[in-house]
Amino acid sequence: MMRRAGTWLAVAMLCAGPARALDALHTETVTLKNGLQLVLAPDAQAHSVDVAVWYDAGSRYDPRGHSGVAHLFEHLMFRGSSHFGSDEHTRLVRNEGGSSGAYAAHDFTAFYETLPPDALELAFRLESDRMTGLALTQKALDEERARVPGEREARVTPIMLGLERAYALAYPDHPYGLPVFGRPGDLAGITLKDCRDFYQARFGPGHAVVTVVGKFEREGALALAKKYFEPLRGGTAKAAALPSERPQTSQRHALDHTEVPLRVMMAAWRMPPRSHPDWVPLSLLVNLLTHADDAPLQQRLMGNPPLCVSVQGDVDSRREGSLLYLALALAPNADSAQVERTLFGELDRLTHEAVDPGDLERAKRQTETTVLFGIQTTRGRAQALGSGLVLAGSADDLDRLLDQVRAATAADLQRVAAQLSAERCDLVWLLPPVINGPGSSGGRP
Amino acid sequence: MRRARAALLCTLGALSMAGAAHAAPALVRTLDNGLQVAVFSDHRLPIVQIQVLVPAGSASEQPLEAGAATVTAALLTRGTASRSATQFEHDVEAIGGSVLGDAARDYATVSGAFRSTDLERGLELVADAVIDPIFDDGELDAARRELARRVIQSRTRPDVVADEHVWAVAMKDHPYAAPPDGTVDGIIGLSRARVTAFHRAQYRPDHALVTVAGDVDPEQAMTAVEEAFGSWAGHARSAAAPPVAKPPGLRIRIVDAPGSPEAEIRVAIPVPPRGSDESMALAVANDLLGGGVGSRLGGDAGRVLKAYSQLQQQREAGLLILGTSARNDSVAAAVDRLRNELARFASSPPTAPEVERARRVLGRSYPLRNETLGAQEAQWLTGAFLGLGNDYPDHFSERVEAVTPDQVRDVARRYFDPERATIVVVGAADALKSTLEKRAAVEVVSIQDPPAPVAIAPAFRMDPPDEASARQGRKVALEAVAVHGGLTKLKSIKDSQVEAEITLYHSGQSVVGKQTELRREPGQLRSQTEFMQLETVQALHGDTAWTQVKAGSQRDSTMAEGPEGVAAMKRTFGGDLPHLLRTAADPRSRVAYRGQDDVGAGRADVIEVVSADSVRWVLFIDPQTHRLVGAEDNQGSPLRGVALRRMFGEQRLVQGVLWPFAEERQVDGERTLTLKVSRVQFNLGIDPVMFESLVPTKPTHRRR
Repeated sequence: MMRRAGTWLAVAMLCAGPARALDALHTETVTLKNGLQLVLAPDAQAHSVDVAVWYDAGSRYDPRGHSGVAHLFEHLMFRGSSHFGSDEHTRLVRNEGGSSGAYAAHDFTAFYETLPPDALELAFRLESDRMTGLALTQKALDEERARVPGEREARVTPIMLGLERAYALAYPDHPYGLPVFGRPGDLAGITLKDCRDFYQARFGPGHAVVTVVGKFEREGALALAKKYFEPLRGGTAKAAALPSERPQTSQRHALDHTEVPLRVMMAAWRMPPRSHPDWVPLSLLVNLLTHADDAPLQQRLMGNPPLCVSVQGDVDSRREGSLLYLALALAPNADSAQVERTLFGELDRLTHEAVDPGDLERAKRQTETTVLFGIQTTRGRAQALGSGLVLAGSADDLDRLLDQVRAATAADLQRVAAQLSAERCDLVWLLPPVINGPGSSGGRP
Repeated sequence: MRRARAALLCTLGALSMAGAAHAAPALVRTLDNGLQVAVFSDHRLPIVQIQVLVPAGSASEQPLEAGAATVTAALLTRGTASRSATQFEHDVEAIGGSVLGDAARDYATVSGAFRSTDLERGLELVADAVIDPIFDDGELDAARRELARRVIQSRTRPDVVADEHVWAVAMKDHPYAAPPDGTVDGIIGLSRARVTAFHRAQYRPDHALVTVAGDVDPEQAMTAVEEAFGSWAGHARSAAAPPVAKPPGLRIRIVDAPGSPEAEIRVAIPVPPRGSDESMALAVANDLLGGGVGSRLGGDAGRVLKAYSQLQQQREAGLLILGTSARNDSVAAAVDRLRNELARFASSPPTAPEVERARRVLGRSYPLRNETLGAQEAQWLTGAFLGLGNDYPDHFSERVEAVTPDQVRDVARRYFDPERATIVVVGAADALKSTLEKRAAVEVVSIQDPPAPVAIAPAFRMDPPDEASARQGRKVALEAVAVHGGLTKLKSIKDSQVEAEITLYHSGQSVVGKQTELRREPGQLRSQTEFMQLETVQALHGDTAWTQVKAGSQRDSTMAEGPEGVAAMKRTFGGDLPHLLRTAADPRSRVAYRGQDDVGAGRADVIEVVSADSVRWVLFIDPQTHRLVGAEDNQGSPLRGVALRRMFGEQRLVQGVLWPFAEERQVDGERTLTLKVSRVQFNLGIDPVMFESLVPTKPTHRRR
């Protein structure tokens, strides 16, 4: 499950490679003979080097009825391969003073090592070994499967719960509607064969992008890539096309009693992927509405008397679509119908009134600083570059997005605001378990 | 969102041992006001990070300032002399930046993150927060509640509770014993005056440090710092901390969490402070004992650390803390295992290859762990704060990689003594005490109690007084009685009439009216106030009380008071100067001297008086003039109710009695009302009918 930090726009903007605005960050893409894409982003002033492998192996490819397989690979990939024992990977990286990690998302599964520059080769040895030589065992599968509920429990937040429900509403026919962790009932049924099949189909150089970011010599890195990755074969299987979603014609609802301390209302809208021209204005609009004490939605909903105790929003982005959401935690005595009216009233106002220029400028600057501070570290830059590659297919996205942010106008935001209508909304209510007793069906609190 | 962004952008929180080495500052200079400034130049990204460190951590708190470090740091950005809290927030957000204050044990920090083109504006904002916060009452109240809520929440986390208590026990009688975030009582009880005083005393340039890092020209940045901070003046209060006492032997504290099926365990041993000569060897030892993957406590797999060790070093002292959790039936075994591992580390020290591996990991990871501007600054700040020099970060890696197996063995032998360990177990005392008692004497405290004793403001003390404080209290009280005319004179007042101009204050507004108070012995009171067209009469007549309200030409509204109203009126009756002093002089009252405190503009002796019928008052008496300068009605803790304080001034003789002609009433430190007395008369022979009820025969009771 990919970690989230800051606004999605910020994270997405980290997903890009070189930027003309940021001359220090150059990238070069090399495709090896076996199809593996190598993206080099050297930084002579860095003190580390980060090697990451981005597999086109997200949970969107989970076999039907066996959701959660891709996520298991986030862990299984550390359980040994042709030349390394279980957990040896972590230990070897650590012994060099480095760190390693992995994350699974709907569109990709990624693995990385951040190391002192002179230990670059270790990353190539480790990653190439498990790219095609993973040792999949029943013992490892059983152990990792058993850890999933605890892992989910440790990461669960009201926003995550709300997003899961909202995605299920917004993408009823697409695997984006299923959680990365898998449906609880599916996990037990995953067999070793399922894992082997998935590994065979989705891993391998043909489905991999390798990013190298930080302090390294171009020629040396290229030679290592050729030495370790080029001899590998695999990752050429074609995946079946995924169903496209039907147009939404009316508001959809979900209501759940779950472990939230206050009533949470999540209003979500299915949106285009971030390569779409509307994506930046939409992201700026959410920032403008929610990301400051005097932001319009905070003012309307958290004024005196407050209808809400917290108002957050973001655009969660995936390769084939996004989900714009506004998450409101209601004040204990607030009237939920009034909250809905206020929210949609405010959104409607945006369609016929231009946003305040000061608010827009603030949103732009906040986005820019969040992006820039996020790419201070080698790991941060690698994250930006790699996820841009796998989600938008471009190593140049950061520059494009920064340019779009700077060029966005009030008219752009007013234009996209029309997409946030009550009719197109997927509305999720999360209620504390004790307020109205158990139950789970459509409707409102 | 503010916090999330701030957390993302500001990374000074932990001035850890491991951090960014690399670039030395491009420029280091000490300004005329003593402020030391370092500028780091890094042009890779168009950003700048500003950090300010002041010696204003919780260890700098004086008695009665518990919690001031945290509250002060939290309020720096919540209103300044030139900006309201909203305006400050707006100005920061408008340029897409962040400014955040935070406090730890040794220091407080303010961190600002901006685009580099906004350097000057960012510096001005950070300087405004550091130098000119105003600690607005409303913001203070909100901050106290929020911080107290956080402390209360942290009590539900056994790991946090265990860490706090282990410091409290191991550092007994040292400022480090107090939890850095303060305690609920401390935070809630902090007045604006104390927070302001703490800020005035600690936020001074002469021991402060400022760093600027990022896409800046060093000279221009230095000039901008001088511009923003040059007018900052004064000297920080310096108070030498007492030495940390050497632990006498094994100490065990159970923090009782009744009914808990498992327990959180800490075993701590004292180690030298941060920056000491042995710090590098200790870091290596800690890594091998339980700090790193594959350590002795962590086991080989390193996948799930069952136990761990952590080196926590402050400027004056440090602790090596071993931690784990266990079910109740295996707590004693877990404690023994941790202690045994300490002993084994000393008796079977790590081999040369093990030391080589650990020091290599620490040395090589140092630059990687802190690549951000903030971390780079934090490393320099650490070195400068500890007096280790400007090049401290540059040599970290080589120093740690020079640690020898002999040095690791030596620090283990010197400090890893399980017989001097402090053991803290957070769990069910009834299930754990008997087994732990076999190892050493066990102290049991409640999980609700603060980890270390917190100095309580004298006005809130309710503990049974010892003989000396009772004697002292009586003496001070009788001196005041004498100064105010003597007991005979005070007792001779059979009735009184006091006329005053009254001003009410609320939300920055005020309204002026008239008040006349009549008293008649025994137990009769009539208080009449007039504000414009509104006239209110409240009266007490023995065990009954009533209230009448007249609004312009409308009909009177008269109601009988219920029991609560009667009790409140009785309190008011007994709250004038003669009655307060008569109660203090009454041999049946319990009188206790509670110390001195800042009251109004000066110091005052604080006397607690509990009357024969259990009515409690706190009197403030000027130690020089022996005059009664104030009185307070509180519940012994800010958590149990508001403190109603009355301050007396302009005292003049009236028929031989020294009487206050000015009075200010405060609710939790906030002025709500002032009285300007125009006339005081005694023994007028006031007609008792003045106090009799005007309530119709079928009264409607109401609650106050």
